[in-house]
Amino acid sequence: MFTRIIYGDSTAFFTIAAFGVATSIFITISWRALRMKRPQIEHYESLPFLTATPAADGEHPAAGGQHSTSEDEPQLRT
Amino acid sequence: MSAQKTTVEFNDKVVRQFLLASVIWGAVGMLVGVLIAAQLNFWQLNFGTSFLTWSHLRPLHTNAVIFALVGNMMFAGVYYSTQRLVKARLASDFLSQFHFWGWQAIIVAAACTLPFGLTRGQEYAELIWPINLAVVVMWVVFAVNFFWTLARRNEPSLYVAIWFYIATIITIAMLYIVNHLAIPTSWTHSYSLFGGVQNALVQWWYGHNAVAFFLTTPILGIMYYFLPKAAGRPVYSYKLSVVHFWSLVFVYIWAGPHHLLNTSLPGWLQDLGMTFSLMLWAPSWGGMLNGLLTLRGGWDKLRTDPVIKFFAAGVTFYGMSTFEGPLLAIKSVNALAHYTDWIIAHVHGGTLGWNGFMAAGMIYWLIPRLWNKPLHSTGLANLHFWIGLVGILLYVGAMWASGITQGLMLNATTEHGTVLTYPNFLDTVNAIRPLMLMRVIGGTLYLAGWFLMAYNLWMSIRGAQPVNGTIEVFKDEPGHAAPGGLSVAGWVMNPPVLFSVLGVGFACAWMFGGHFVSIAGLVGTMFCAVVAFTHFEARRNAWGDWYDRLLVSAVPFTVLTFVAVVAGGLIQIIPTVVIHRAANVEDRRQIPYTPLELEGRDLYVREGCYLCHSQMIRTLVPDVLRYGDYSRLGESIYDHPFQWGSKRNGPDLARVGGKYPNVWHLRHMENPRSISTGSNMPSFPWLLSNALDVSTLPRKIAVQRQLGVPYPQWTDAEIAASVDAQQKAIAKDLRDGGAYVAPDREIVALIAYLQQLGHYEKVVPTGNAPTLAD
Repeated sequence: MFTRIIYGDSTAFFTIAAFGVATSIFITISWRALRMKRPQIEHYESLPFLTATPAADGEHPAAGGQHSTSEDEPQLRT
Repeated sequence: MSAQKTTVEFNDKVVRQFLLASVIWGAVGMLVGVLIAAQLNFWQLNFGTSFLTWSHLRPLHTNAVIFALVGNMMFAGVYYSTQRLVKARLASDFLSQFHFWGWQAIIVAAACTLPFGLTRGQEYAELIWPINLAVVVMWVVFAVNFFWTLARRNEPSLYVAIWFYIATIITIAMLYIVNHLAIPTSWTHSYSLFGGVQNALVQWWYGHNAVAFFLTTPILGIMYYFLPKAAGRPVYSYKLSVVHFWSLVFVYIWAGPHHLLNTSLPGWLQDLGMTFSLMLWAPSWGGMLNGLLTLRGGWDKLRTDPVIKFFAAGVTFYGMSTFEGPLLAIKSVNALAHYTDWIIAHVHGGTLGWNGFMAAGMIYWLIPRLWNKPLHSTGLANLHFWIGLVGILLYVGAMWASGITQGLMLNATTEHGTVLTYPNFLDTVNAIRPLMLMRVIGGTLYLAGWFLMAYNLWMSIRGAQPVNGTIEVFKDEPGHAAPGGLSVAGWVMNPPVLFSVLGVGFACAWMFGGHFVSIAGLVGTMFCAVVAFTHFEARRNAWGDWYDRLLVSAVPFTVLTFVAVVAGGLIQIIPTVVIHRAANVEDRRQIPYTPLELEGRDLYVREGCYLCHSQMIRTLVPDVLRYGDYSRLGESIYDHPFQWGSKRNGPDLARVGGKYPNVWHLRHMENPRSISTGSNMPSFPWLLSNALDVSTLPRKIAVQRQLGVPYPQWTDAEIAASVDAQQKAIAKDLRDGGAYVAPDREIVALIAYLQQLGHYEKVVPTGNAPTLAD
């Protein structure tokens, strides 16, 4: 079944074919990415910022930022 | 439909736990690293004990920094960012805790077994089979917790960091399970299902992609979340991140064979490994630039903010390592660099620079937010950065110089390339001693920086109140699917998937089929491509819509990612497993070990000899001049596990059998310096005093037979008689050489194994088998 891959001269072709497949996937994905609409991009790139992060000084956590708790009694407020 | 406003409190307790574990285990792992680096300079630091010997501690170091430092850091980052990106608490508090404590138990188990020589003998896959099973269970727990959380998410869109986490989870599961397939012979020992070249290919498919999908993709996900948060601005280009992800996950998996260049691995696999490694330059640098450019407009923070410092340097080291990796995968460069310290420099540029600095940046960013208290000292964090950076530069610079020196000296020839310039291997060892010492200093500095972080962390959280993040979300009624997601039928019944499946099917028929099937496959492939293009031109919206809906559908996205990563592995492994068996071997075939030699080989694996000595003479003139005729594929076909090695701290042993008398080996193992003045090899005196345990030998031979090694149907008595006869013969020869040792000592079995290395039988062509001439 794999005779030609192992013993034949066509092994060089196999590498080229794999390279071709990888390149086509690269081009396809790049094309898809380049066609993304501005609102779509803005939505995705804003996702890390949709959850407010407390300030690093620990003194004025942002709204909805954090909730003090005991390690032994984690509370779910939903 | 009505929406209910609720407040979700995140499970940050498990994030804190993993974060602390990462710092503690990281310190342990790197401490062991500094010790083993020092042992290469000062052999006395092996202390003449088995469990503190270099070759027993080296697997502990690599496993600790990979699975304990980076593993725990990764879990902390994944759990923290995922909850916030999908606006949902982790699905199960029980699974979260089970995951944390289970993972720590695995680390402890590794620390209790590796120093005592309980190993599978494959790099980064050394843990014995019961621990392997525990790792698989814990990984499944992690996966269930993660995907269950995605299923409960309150944000339909999947940010690119989540994509990288998904790729990590499914790919590591696949790699780990396949590479650890084995048949146990006892509670602490097993033989790999794969042998020889098959084992080599599968091992480095795993080993390379453990770097890719354990040390890289999760950290990239962490970069895409934490770097924008720290910089206070979105990622530079989301489009670039999409290209980065798909090209990286597709290309990475093919590159494993670059660890086996110029060996007896079939040439087409070496070509594939090199080609795909070179292609990795593009996505890797795309990701690196995307990370660095996210800091646009915020470079001033570099002066003051240690988090930005660590992230910027970490991403820069990522770029450096991913430039160096493909460079080293070029065959001619690899001929110089492989088996030398250059590879050590490459690995540590990635682990210390990319993994270590990204971990430090993330930890410094998280500390105030998880404990609601400012960092104890920004100055100490900055000091950590500079000490760590100087440490890395010393380490990597020393190993670059050392590796290139080793490569040049070992490959140097004179007399028109017919004579080695430096025939004594120890010449190279002595030449790089100052550089090895510089590595110890660099590593110590880096470790000192890590301890500063641990102190800063302790001072910051001491007396602080742990806090969990919260978010208010609008929950839809239960059972409502995410808007725009793909239904089950929609996963499959759409143009991109159908045409891809058809195209791959026809292409396989073309490549692997017989004459008629091959022609039909070629025609089908061309027909499929034309129809797909025509359909795409006519129905662009259907194709584009499918992709957009995929981005909010976790399960089909995961399946597609799995297809992307599995393709490379299958195309490389299946032909190798099917065709490269002993029955098909040409030219030379390994002679199965005698029972005593098999026990000796297990001792060789136990003592970690493969970590310093390769058994693979490459198809390179200097290798052949130094070690003998180049290694053939069939000469290790029965080796479970293979022992080709990846580093030469000492010479290759593929043809050491018969080169020296038995007594030479005994003296050498007892005290290497009594034979080779200036050697840095540890002494192994316990081999002369330990009695050989042959109680599981019948079971071992039975398993070998199951694996295809042509042992006869020996009875237990026949096995014992064979062992006894060979032991007595070797003991007598030792006695004649002036060394008395009881026949049942471990050293006798090890000598039996070493003296057999390089022996083979000639294969007589049957006439039916294809030959190279065909």
